[in-house]
Amino acid sequence: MKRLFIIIVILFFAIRLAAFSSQAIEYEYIPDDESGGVAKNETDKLFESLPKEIKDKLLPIEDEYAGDIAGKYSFGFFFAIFKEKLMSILPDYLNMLSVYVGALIIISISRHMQSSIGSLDNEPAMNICTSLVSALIIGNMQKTVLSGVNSLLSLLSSTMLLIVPIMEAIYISGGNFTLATVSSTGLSLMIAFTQSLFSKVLSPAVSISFLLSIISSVTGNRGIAFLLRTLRTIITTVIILIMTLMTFALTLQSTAAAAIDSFATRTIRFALGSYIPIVGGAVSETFSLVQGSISLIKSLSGITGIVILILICAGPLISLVISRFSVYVASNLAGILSCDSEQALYSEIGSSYTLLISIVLSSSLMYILALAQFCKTAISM
Amino acid sequence: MIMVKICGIVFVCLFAAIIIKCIKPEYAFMPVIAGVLAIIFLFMDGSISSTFDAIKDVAEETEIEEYIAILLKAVGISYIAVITADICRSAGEEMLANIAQTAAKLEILALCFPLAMQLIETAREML
Repeated sequence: MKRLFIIIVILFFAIRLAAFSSQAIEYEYIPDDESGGVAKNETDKLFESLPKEIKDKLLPIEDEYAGDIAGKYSFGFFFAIFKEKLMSILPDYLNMLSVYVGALIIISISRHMQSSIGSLDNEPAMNICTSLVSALIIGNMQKTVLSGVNSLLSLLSSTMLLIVPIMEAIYISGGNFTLATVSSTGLSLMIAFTQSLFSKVLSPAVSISFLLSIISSVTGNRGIAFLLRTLRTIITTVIILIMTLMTFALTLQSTAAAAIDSFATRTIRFALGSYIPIVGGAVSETFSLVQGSISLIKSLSGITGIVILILICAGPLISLVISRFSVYVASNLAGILSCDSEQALYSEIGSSYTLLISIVLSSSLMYILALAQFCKTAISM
Repeated sequence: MIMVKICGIVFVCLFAAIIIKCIKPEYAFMPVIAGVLAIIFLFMDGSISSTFDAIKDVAEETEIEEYIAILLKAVGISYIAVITADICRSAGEEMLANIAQTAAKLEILALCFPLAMQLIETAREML
């Protein structure tokens, strides 16, 4: 049975993975890219696509320079954002906790009323009724959470898809053609693959995990716990594997491409300085200055991208953590009220929440790491 | 105070049942039924109704009254069935007692059916 289940789960993942296509958008070189106007247009497009609440918190594009960024995007800025999000989200999630607590108290009362009759004849039917009620209350809550996570993941990937052309344009402005091609292709592939993986494989797997917990509670079959454990182990393994592979591949590609471009740039600078008489040295110095300023633009754009991703993820992530906490409180309360099946259900749901948090964290971290890599190659040029 | 009234009713019915049993044993269960009905009505009027009102308030505040109404209905059916079955048993009608219990079980399961359908719908939406 165990082996059969593991084989079925692995086959499910394999079929799902094989079913979706991850196509990276091939970069096409356009000579106008080198003027820097493309980067500006792409940045405008990105800012237009952002939700208003995020746009308001960012620095205006025109005023974006190192001093402002260092001053604004400090620890205090992020702390204030998290505090504001927490304060706006907290009432809704306290309401969620109150629903859990209210439902548990009523279910506990009904169980005690049933047991006080002293007749065992109606007990199985009453147990089914109570389990269905508690499963429905919890199930309805999870629907909203799951749809929120799915929309966050699609917003993250669409934002990243808008950041990639900006990165390409900035790379090309600095003369890093190899890096532009390699990183844009690699990043596009990574975004397409992770988006498909998270939305078509991992999110449905977490939904299945939620449903298995509910079914286990309604039927009273504790054997499903094994299936749940296997499913969670597989999801965690897939996340770790994908994160490691993607980050490793991207870092490796970017570093190699940056080395090639660095070599080409140095050759051009050397040639300018050595073979052009009189003005050659000055041109070479100007070339270095332009390189340095473009490197600064790269790191500032990368930082802005990271800030945008953090702002997008902050709200949903805080909501997930508070939901996890609510479920944890409800699970303990169920234990105090002697509702054993509800306690098991809440604790299983809590584990699924941990998986959801890890999915959101890993996808956002992967994108943040990609942008950090962009900044890093910019600084090391 | 309700408990004192209930004890009073129980004692009156008990003495009546003992006396009737000596005169006409076949009617001895009559005062028992009267006593049970009196206690039920006393309860419905007093503490039980206030408890149900409190539960209803909690359910309304947490927006889960639809489910809780079904749960309380199931508890009510269970109570009625048990009391009816006990009365039947005290009258020596075991068959009727069993029928009452079975009908209660079916009624509770019928109440659960829309809940099960909703759960299936929720599962479908989640996937």
